[in-house]
Amino acid sequence: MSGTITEKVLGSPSNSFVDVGVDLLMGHDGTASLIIDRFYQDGGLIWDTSKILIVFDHFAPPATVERANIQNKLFEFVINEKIPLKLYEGIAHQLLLEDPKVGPGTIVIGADSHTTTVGATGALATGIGATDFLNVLTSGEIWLKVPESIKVILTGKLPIYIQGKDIILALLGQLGPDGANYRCLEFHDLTDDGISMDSRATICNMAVDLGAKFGLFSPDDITKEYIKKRGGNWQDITPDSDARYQKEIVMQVDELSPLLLDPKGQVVSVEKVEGTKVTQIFLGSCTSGRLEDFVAMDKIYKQHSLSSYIKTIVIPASQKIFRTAIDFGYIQTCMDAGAVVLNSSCGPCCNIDKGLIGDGEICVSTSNRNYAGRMGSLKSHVYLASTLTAAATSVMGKIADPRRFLS
Amino acid sequence: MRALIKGLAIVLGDHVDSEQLHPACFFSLDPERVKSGLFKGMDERIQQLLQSGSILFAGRNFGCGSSREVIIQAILYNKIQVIIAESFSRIFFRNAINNGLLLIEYPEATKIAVDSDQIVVEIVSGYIQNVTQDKMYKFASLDPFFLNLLERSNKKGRVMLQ
Repeated sequence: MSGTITEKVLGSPSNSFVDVGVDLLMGHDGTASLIIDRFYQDGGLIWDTSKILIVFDHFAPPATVERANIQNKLFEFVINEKIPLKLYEGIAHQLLLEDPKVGPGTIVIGADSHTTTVGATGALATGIGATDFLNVLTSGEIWLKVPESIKVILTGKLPIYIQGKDIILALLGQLGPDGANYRCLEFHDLTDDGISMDSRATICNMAVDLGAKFGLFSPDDITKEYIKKRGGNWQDITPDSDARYQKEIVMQVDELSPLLLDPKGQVVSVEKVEGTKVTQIFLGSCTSGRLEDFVAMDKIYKQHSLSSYIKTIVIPASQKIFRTAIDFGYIQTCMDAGAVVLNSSCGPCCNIDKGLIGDGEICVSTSNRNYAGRMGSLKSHVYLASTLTAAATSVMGKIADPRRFLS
Repeated sequence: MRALIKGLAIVLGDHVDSEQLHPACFFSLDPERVKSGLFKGMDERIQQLLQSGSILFAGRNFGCGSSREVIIQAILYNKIQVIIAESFSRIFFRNAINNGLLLIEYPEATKIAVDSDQIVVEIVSGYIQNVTQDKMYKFASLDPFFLNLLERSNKKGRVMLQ
């Protein structure tokens, strides 16, 4: 049929309802743990363990007795049902990106809102809650309303001081936090040098923070290269030339300047708030914490140490990235500059693990949400930024433009 | 679900997010703990308005953010049966329907009531009555697809009301 990528993969026009088979189902310790009792009450039959992945990343490892008990319950379930488990190996969405089952046209359902990250590979990936997780766990299928798509064309030459984070923040500023609600953000990379897979993952990660059901990059040579290196199946999927979009947006990436999402939810240029004092920097999460982000940190920390009394927390998104960052000397550079490096996990991002901030603190974070209290105290403030901007800020001790550090 | 839902209004704004509704530190398998976390990310004035069976009115994008289903559980444990908003975020919408929580999309929902107004929602004929202000508002029935899901969830009793 003729249509957008989503309409073609789901085989049905937008706004129709479909029941589709799921290629990979993900749940983690913060969501899958909710359904165990109901699973057994309902009869306790799993659809296909080879297509399920459980990840322990939120309580990794647990910091309280209650969380240890919750995780143990899921542990027992995973062992009894022989479900593949990733134990403290990294954040679920990064592990999905690294999984050969995920690629163009695959349908990935995850019990976590940021499952959209995986759209970087051209997959249709979306987040659901615990009950939907249970339904897929036992049936292998999910009902979806086929979303309309917004086509986002990225053109121009990406400046060295701009990362995927700035691109998605620019789009967030343009569309607002519900500007893509129930829709698919279909990205087309027509930039001169192409946008890296790591930046694409950042962009798709935050698609949900514009409300999107899917955020995906139209698969191209960069996707193909990634799939070839990682393993997994390639298939050509392109939208039809007469596909109908709800909206078309062209973004000239060379016109972008480094951006922040301020604590009030406004997207502002770094220049506008430069000099604002901060108390903590968080470099990690499923939004960032990838190899490209370590290259960015390395660029800045090779030449400059952290400002005194600034807490800087670095978390690689997966153990695989962690190991590579060690091999390349990036971890050493971060530590030499004065940062603390924690194990691959969600960390402080959602008010769960180490690195929470107290009353009156101001943090610049590379994560995806800065709702009040999201990273600790209701009286704290979080700015969201790219790794380059966050690293520059940690050196200055106040919000700083990364262009000062890049020649 | 009863055909007639009665309660006192709480009026919230746009983009009420997961952390306002239910901070992640209240994530738990203990119903009492989950129940106690509702609205704990909001200011104390709103926390004080909350009572068993409140009826929530809100603006755009209600429930945006995390997929944590404990948020819906916390709402149902507090016996809130209906939320009327301009729009809902999609994961919140699915989670609500899956647990038998009725959501009504209504333009300018926040103008229907002020805090503590007495509200009656009549599901079958589809009207919202503001008893305090003596006004009636007709709402369009839920898409039959979702109505069917909602009824199925109710029969299963996904979240056992305390």
